Amino acid sequence: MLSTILLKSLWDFKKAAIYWFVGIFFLALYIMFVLSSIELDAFQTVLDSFPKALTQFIGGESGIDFSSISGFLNAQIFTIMAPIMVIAVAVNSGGKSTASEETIKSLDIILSAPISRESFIIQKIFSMTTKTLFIAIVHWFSYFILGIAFSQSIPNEGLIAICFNLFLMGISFGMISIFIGTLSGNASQAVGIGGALALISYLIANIAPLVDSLNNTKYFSLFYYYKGSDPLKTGFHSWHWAPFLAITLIFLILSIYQFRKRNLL
Amino acid sequence: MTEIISVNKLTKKYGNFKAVSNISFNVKKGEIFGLIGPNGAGKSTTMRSMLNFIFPTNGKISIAGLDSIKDYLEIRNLIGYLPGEFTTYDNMTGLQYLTHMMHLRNKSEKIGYAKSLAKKFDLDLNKKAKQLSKGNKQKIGIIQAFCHDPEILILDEPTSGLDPLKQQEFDELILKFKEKGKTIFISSHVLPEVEMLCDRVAIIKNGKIVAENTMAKLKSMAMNRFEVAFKGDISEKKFGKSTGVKNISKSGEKFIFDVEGDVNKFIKKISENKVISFRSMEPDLEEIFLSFYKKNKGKK
Repeated sequence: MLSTILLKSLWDFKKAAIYWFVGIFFLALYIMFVLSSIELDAFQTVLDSFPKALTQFIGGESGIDFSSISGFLNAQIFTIMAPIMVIAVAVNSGGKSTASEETIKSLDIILSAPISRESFIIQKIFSMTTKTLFIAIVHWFSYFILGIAFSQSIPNEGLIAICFNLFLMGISFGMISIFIGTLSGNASQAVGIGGALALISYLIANIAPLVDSLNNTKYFSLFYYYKGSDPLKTGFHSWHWAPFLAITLIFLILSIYQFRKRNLL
Repeated sequence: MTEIISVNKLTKKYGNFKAVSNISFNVKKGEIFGLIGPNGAGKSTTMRSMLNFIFPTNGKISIAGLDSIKDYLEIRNLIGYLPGEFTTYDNMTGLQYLTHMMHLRNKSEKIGYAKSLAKKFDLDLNKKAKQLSKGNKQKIGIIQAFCHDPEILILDEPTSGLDPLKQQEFDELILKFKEKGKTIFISSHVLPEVEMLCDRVAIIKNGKIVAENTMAKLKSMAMNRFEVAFKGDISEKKFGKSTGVKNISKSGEKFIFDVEGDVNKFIKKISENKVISFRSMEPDLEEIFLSFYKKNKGKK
């Protein structure tokens, strides 16, 4: 497990991976249990009386639909909780990938071995991508398995689609954090800025549709491309992947370029 | 002996600040070369430039005939490195760390040698780094630098945190490497250690090399120190600038003279008095170092 930088990085994640799996699965179990035990239609009647702006702010542009479990997942879990978890892992892993090794000075020894800076950062990018994919897959697995166990109809294509978007959004923010880390060599700064950008992006996507004059700003938010096409209901919309892929690619190139030319003090 | 490290007119600037300025020196294959100077003098910048961690503003470094920038991967195959601030991963045991490092170097077969070095240094490789003292972590750093049997060792403050017994083990290890024809480039604040180990030394000040030579030559270039006992009193005023005397101190009944340059005038002068005893005192590296530092005081 310790033969490459990538494997070592994933080895470091092994305990966290178990905690994340247990946490996400038990959260899903709790939600499925509670929602299977209550009358969702009564919830919906109350929510229908809320102002549209409020339901949009809470549940995103498509508002809140609590008439079914998939509606609840769409409005709550995949609007707030799942993105927080995926972005937390991606930004933390990305921000710390080069900057943390630079801060604690472990990078010196690694780069004194015959390993190029490009190889080092690419392995770290793979590590961040793998961890983010893991969290997205655990979300899909938990709701897919528990949907069957609780005899709830959660459309599997929609579940895969939103988890895939979740993954793409995660690696986009993770990649931005890696780039900030290569600029400053400061892990806290890289994680902090990456997280702040994610928060701003969330607020833009949820606030912009409330005000007509700001409506078009939602296109600048990655959260819009994540959930704007309502993937849990409508499945895959590949054109929504383009901004994620573009951002990931741009910041990947910038990160490699910046890390190659940086003086490692 | 052929040159294995060649630093040629190396300059590294950060904005207007020159961390190193136009320095040149060569290290011969099979020798132990010491770079000494206080913090901020440019030692680490020089070492990090050699390893391609820092890109020179001007100048060129070649190691084993390879360019430090173009051929850095090939160079890293030849080098064992211990940085000034060595850190390992807290969540790994010493053995896991060394295994990881040997895999990265494609030298996993060397783990046996790493274990034997750990035994020599009395280090438990099964403990996690977070359970180890600073000295024991430093031992892991030393082992990872040595255990893949590199041709060149670049060591920045290698004995920092080691107890005196382990420092001795380290010195023996260094000398064994030298016997095998390996080259060692060492930077240290522990001047007696540098003096004992190094064949040649360069003194760096404010980013410039102020002296570079064998220990013997440096000693001859530095201030000469003489211990003289006279019969009766003498006037210290007699030993002015013209005699080359820079400083006079007393040790009991004996006078200690620090003399710069040609000593003939000084000897003539003392022979005007009745001399009971006369002893030339060889300066140690610390005195040489201070002597060169004082000589270059103010020069930036």
